[in-house]
Amino acid sequence: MNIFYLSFKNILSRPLSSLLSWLLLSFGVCVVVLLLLLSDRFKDEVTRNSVGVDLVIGAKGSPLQIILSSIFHIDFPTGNIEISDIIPYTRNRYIEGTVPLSLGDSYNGYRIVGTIEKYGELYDAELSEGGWFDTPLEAVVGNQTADELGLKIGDRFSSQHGLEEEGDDHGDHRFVVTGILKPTGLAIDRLILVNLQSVWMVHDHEDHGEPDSLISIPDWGIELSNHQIEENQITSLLVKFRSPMGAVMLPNQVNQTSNLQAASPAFEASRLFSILENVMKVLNFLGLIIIAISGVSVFISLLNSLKDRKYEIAILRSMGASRRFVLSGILFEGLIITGIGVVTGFVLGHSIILVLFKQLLGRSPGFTSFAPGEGLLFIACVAIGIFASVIPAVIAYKTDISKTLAQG
Amino acid sequence: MTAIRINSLQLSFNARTRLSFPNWTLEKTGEALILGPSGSGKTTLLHLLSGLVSPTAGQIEVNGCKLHEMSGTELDRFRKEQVGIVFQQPHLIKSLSVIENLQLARHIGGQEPDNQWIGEIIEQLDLGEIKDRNVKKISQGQAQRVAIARSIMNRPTILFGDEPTASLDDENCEKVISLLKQEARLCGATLIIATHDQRVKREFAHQLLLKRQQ
Repeated sequence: MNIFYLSFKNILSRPLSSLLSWLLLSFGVCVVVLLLLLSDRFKDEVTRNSVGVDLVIGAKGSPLQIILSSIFHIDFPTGNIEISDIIPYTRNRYIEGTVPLSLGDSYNGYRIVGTIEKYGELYDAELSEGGWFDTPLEAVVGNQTADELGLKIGDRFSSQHGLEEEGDDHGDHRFVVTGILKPTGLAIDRLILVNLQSVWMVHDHEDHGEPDSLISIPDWGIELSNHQIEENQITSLLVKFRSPMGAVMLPNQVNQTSNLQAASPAFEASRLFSILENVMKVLNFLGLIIIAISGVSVFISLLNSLKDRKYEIAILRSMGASRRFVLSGILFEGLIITGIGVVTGFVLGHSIILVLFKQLLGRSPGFTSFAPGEGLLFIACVAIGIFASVIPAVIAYKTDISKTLAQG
Repeated sequence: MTAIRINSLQLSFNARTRLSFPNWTLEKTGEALILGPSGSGKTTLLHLLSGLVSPTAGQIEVNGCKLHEMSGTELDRFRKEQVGIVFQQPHLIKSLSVIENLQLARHIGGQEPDNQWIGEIIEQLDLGEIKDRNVKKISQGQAQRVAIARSIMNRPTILFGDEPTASLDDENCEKVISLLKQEARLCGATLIIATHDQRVKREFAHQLLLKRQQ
């Protein structure tokens, strides 16, 4: 028997009001934690996935859609672009390097990306086993893709047209897995990488004519025939600038002088974030209001319980309990309800993020990975708990034992 | 040995209302009754004797402790170490079971949980069957027995009863008085009961009669 136990039993003795305070606080904290985590994870995702990519060139359309489909692999591409249109940019003086992407096919819901080996280097993706693709129809699979589809070196599969699982099967051309990547925690983990020619091959855009010449693209480390260049397309080109001048000159050059669209990952991410920020601000405010209401609920619950328990408090004092004992008891009651509510809110918020990220991105941050601001939220909630309990605790502290007992 | 000595004792509630008490002495381990009509100050005297309130004038000495000179903290300690009180209503802690109410009394008294002592009291007061029951689920008579058990948990040197029989029938009135006397003897405590219940009068040789005060 101690004061914590007594406080805990007192909370349990008024289940409805305690439950209400607990639910309100849990919900409010959960909403704010969710927003803090979402905002933090979003910024983290953007930063880590777009590192090394200063610009994405794709078909005319929404720049945000280009970024989402080519960097995060979570939206549909805006369309395809001619290789002939894109080749000049592989030799541009503002550009240090480029990586082509050809999207549109998938295997069991996992996106197949036609690209070059340099795409892996962009994200420091290393092979855990096997080797990179040398010839068409060889595939290197991301770690998560391999895990979830159970793919091993030497396994064969046919790609499907489109990014949905129900797409038509390209049954004539079967890919063979030649390599599996180590986990990176990035979008590449849930991709299947093949070389550019593989994508053209399964769509029957092979080089049918006699090659009159081979054109080398040193930046990509490949040579393409004139037929391949004329007949084939890619989805987008990831660009790294040579100098900050590239950021000034290139986007305008692309957007004004061609059928292409340039999109900056940093700019689009901040634009997306500013749109989301207003919604988040409203939700955050709502969460904070709920937390404040829960503080009022704790206050009212304690105050009401004091009316019922004034004789109990006087009895405790008559038994020799000090004023400090009574004060601490009420404070603990407020803090226990607040503490349980806060912990539940945090656990709930982190669990939802865990499930949400697993569903949306196929991977999740660690459960104990905290966002900046969560510490402050915790301290604020504890302060609300103390604040809500102080007045009832002081009332209990000041109980006139003799007067109260004489009334009983 | 003197258990209680009061001298020129007065308590003022405000400029107009003041209670005065006769000088009184009681020997240790004695049993006494404070009698008087409503408004005579029985409960107030009991509160003064148990250190729940401090006098505005006069001296009050209990077991050698000069209560009129003590601070609030010292009075808390005095009650914790020396006093047991039974009220008209049991006022048990409703969120706790019978045994937890007794354990809480030990905790407040700064005593180690003495299961043997608690067990003895539970047996003596016939609380064995209900010891784990929440106090909201026991009868009024049982609750009053729990209140008596609680009052002697820390082996007080002085046991007070404030109208402990007022709401009881004759049979239970006799039982409660008998139990209070029995438990006071067990602890070697002085027993003082304040009441206007005439049924109790014959049970006590030593009586202090208070008159209604204007």
